Amino acid sequence: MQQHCDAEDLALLALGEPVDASCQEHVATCSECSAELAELRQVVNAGRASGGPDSLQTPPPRVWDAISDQLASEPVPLQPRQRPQRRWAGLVAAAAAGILIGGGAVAVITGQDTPETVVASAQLTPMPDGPDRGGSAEATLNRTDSGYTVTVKASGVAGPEGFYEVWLLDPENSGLIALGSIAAGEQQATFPVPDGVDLDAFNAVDVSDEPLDGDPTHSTVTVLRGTLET
Amino acid sequence: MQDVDVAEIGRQLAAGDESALAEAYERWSRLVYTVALRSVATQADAEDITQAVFISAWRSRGSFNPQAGNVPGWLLAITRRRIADHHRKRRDEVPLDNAPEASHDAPDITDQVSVADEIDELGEPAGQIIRLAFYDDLTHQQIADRLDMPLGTVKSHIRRSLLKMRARLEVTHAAAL
Repeated sequence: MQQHCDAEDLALLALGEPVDASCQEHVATCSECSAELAELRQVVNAGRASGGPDSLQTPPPRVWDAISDQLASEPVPLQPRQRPQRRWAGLVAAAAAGILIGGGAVAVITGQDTPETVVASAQLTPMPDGPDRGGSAEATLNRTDSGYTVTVKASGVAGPEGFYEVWLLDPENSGLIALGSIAAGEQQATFPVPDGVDLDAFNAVDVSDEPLDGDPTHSTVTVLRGTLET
Repeated sequence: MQDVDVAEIGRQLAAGDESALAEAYERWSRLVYTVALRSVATQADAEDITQAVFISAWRSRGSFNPQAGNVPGWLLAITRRRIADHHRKRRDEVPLDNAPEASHDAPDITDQVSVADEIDELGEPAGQIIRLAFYDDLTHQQIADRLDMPLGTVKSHIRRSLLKMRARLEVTHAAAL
């Protein structure tokens, strides 16, 4: 059994330099060394084809100007958690009615005297390649006497094409648990989390736009998403 | 040291710090813009894509996980999607048999520009050694002679630099999934 190639010899081979014959022969028969060589060659080829670091070009200043202008005019506040909470108080009842009728499930509404502890929170934002409905939204994971709940607060989010559905997401395994629906506009809604859900795995909240087609699976149109962080 | 700074920018960005976006633009707009320039037909399109990438990055900062990814890899993943969108739109505008096939080379261009950018981050003398090996086609013996360095030092710089560039590509590929 011949010894593996010297690591530095593999690097030189990747550059196209000759190395000693025993290494060249070994690479031909060793899957480990030839895989390493192939990866290093990919780096060398990409680097040589790139024209080098000096060929990178700087965008003209107007590009950043346009970005900062656009962000300055956005309604998304930089510190959404500092918004006064009482703004939501009057909307809770309306949201409750909508969810009780629409969802059929038992919806728990967070009142001021419901004992609960926020254990994690997430800022919900559009996906890079998904639709952007504007506004802002956040979710909290709450511990109550009767188990966990998820509260979603949304402000100024434009209307859905069908309806908005809130999901708990396991990003590693693409697992999804439907929690219930939420209306557009300014809303706060709280959904019970089924007992026994592994909240370490299901650690993200996803809001999708669902067509009214009776298909209970996720439409794949994610409007907002965020990872719950303690 | 570079890596610590990169991770810090990621954390600040995810936390909604607007100055982190400016910092990310300062560092990586060349990367995004160069990939865009090499993937679309006009400079105006490349500028539009660069603008859209950083706007998207800001709006979707909540989905960026500073533990799992790095900012340049994430920006390039967004860049690839924006370029693909661009080509898709163009395909709709032109008759099918004239449709450009440009989007196929987007990943390769991303690799090229990522490696070029990483060479800039290598520091010296590693950066100079790699430039001589890549672009002047000097052997390690010739590089050692030219820089008056021991052969072993040149070889070890070459290996370590290639590994750094490979790691950079791995992060970029991981962010694209």
